Amino acid sequence: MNLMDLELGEHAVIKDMSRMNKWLQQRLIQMGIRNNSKIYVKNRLPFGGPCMLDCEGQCLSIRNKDARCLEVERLSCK
Amino acid sequence: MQIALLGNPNTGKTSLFNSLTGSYQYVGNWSGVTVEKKVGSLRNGRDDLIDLPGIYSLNPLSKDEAVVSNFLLHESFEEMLNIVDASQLRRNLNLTIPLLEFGKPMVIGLNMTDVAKLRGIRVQEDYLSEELGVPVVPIIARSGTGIEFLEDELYEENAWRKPFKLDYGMAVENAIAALVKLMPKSFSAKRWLAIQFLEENRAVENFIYSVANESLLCKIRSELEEKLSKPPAIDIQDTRNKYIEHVIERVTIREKISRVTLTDKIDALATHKYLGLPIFLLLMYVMFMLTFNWLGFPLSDQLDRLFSGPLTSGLEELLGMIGASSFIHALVLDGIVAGVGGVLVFVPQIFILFFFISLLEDSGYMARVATVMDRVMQAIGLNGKSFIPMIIGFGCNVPGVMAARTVEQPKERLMTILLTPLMSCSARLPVYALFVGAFFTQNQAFVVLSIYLLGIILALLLAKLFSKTIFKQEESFFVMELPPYRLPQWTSLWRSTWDKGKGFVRKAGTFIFAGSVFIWLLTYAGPGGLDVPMDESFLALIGSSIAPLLAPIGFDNWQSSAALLTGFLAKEVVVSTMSIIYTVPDGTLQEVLATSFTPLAAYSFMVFILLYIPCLATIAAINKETGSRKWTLFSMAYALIIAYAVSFSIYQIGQWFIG
Ligand SMILES: Nc1nc2c(ncn2[C@@H]2O[C@H](COP(=O)(O)OP(=O)(O)O)[C@@H](O)[C@H]2O)c(=O)[nH]1
Repeated sequence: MNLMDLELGEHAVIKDMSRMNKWLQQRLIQMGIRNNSKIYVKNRLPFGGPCMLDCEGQCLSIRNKDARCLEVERLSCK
Repeated sequence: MQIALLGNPNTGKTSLFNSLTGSYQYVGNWSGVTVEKKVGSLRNGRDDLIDLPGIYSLNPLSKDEAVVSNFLLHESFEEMLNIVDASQLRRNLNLTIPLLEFGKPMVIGLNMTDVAKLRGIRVQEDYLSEELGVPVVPIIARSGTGIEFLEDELYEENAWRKPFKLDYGMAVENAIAALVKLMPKSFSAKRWLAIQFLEENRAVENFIYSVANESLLCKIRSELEEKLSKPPAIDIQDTRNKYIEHVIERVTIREKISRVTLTDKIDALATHKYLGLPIFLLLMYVMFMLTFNWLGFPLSDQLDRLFSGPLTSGLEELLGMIGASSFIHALVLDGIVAGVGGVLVFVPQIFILFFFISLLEDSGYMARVATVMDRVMQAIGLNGKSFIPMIIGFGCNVPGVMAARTVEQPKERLMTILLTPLMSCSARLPVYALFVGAFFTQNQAFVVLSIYLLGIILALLLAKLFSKTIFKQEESFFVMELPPYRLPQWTSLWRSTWDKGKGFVRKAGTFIFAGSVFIWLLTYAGPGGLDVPMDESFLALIGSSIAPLLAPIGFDNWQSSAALLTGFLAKEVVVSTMSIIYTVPDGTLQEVLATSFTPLAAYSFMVFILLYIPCLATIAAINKETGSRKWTLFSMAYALIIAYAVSFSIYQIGQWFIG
């Protein structure tokens, strides 16, 4: 499943970033976001606008098409 | 001694710079405010602090970020001050490690310790210091807590700093050893150079290809890639991540705290599905109402009364007392007081506008606006980030054009640069204020707002047009860090407001002063000699040669042509010129204007002022940022064409309606 399949506030861990745009992937890695980082979607803006994520205590926004390339795995509890 | 200040964006670097150097700097909250290289002298008076752009990693993904790698490669300095955000240790250490590998003495300023505490994170600085082998000083840059201790560490030559070396595993280490042998002898940080090369740091590659054997170097790297069966950069990053996890494990203590922060609560509103955009528009509305109707105009009025009343009569008396000639008399009163004073009365409005822009930047709201606007901007071929330079452009186009650097995608950046001048900057404000005061007293803010909106709408339309024609879009991406909301400090707000606004005041003292004298001379002299009637002056002559061209758009008097010509220097000079041209013994400038323009022509004139050309300083900035004369000329040409077309339509259609 990817980031777009998560409900708002549902916690997950990142499993695979390799399908993302190369540049974006590098930037996320630089920001300390990588496989096994905990992540959840805070907010989705309307009309297909970007989604706001919280990853390990930092907040950032990316576009839906990129979010779709971010493979995650749902965390069972919480 | 030269000390380099390095760190992630939004870690409080600018605040630290200010409190260490005590100098006036610009403090903002969105990644990209610190774009210029700034040097301040430390309080001991001997050492310099060099401020570098905030970066996440040494490997540059944008032009802005290459500044740091190039600095490390080419400049000489003695010490590094790394500012680390205690509440975001993982991300910050990702930069600290390659900096440590560079091998220069380093001091770490552990900032945001208050924020970390609120989030239930405690960083034990002594353990961190032990791990990394450099002094670590906990600080709160914003309030100045701990700055003295940081200074002590900076000035001290610590003997116990131990060299930092992270073991990347046999295969990588062997490659590093082989690379080090090929590195230029003169460069001391060879290991760093080798690691950065393996990480494919573009700035480093450019540097070593010019001094070492490219094919040998690349061969080592590709052999390593084969051996690891993944790019060395990834392997190196993995090793670092493991080490960072180990460090974090050892130095941080986490306490349980409630999850919902104030930032979350504000974000629930500011980036709300449906309310986000209306809230932004409402804020803009309040900002404009305060700048114009509620606060700005009354203050400007007071100032105007001061200039035209006590100041003028005082000067008149003074000139009479020292027995000045009628030439000096006219020069001072009709030239300087009219020209400079005409612009200075708008200082309150401009400062109010700059204050709000600083507030938006400092609080962290700007990053949300970029997110909220991304969908719209994407639809017209731009990026949410392009929105920020445009908002800054409302203050002044020059920093707006410069802020476009943070847009990573080259074509989007170029488009942002070209379209930012359509944002009505504060220098155009005096012109509108003058005209709405004369023609549209009933709905001043509304008329001015319509001009601002016109600029925005045109920018959006042109963006769409450009992205469909000249700039065929490459793949576009968007990622924006949303820093926590922070209540800006009054001192830093005032500093950044003053920093932006003082340019305007300074311009009034220099540029506009000189311009006023020159323009006045052109009105005072004519082919017929000195002290000619205004209509026979040189300025009238020049103005009337262009005037016929402007007749179709509503103002064929020589006065407005002359004002437009001088407005190329700086838009507010239009007001100076008009104040000088239309000096009359009694009555205000606005009353005189009311007899030379119709309201429709006045509106057309304001629109023309909005669009007709970026001012000289903006053109210089565009030239610098695009590095291309072609695009600079384009920015002037398209503006002129659009301005004429729009003013023409407004005037002609308007006349048709009025009958
Ligand atoms: N709570 C807190 N806020 C800080 C601290 N240092 C800086 N800030 C705030 O963080 C924001 C960003 O700071 P700035 O100096 O512009 O960061 P830069 O982007 O790294 O240059 C500003 O609103 C500062 O007032 C700190 O130690 N604690």
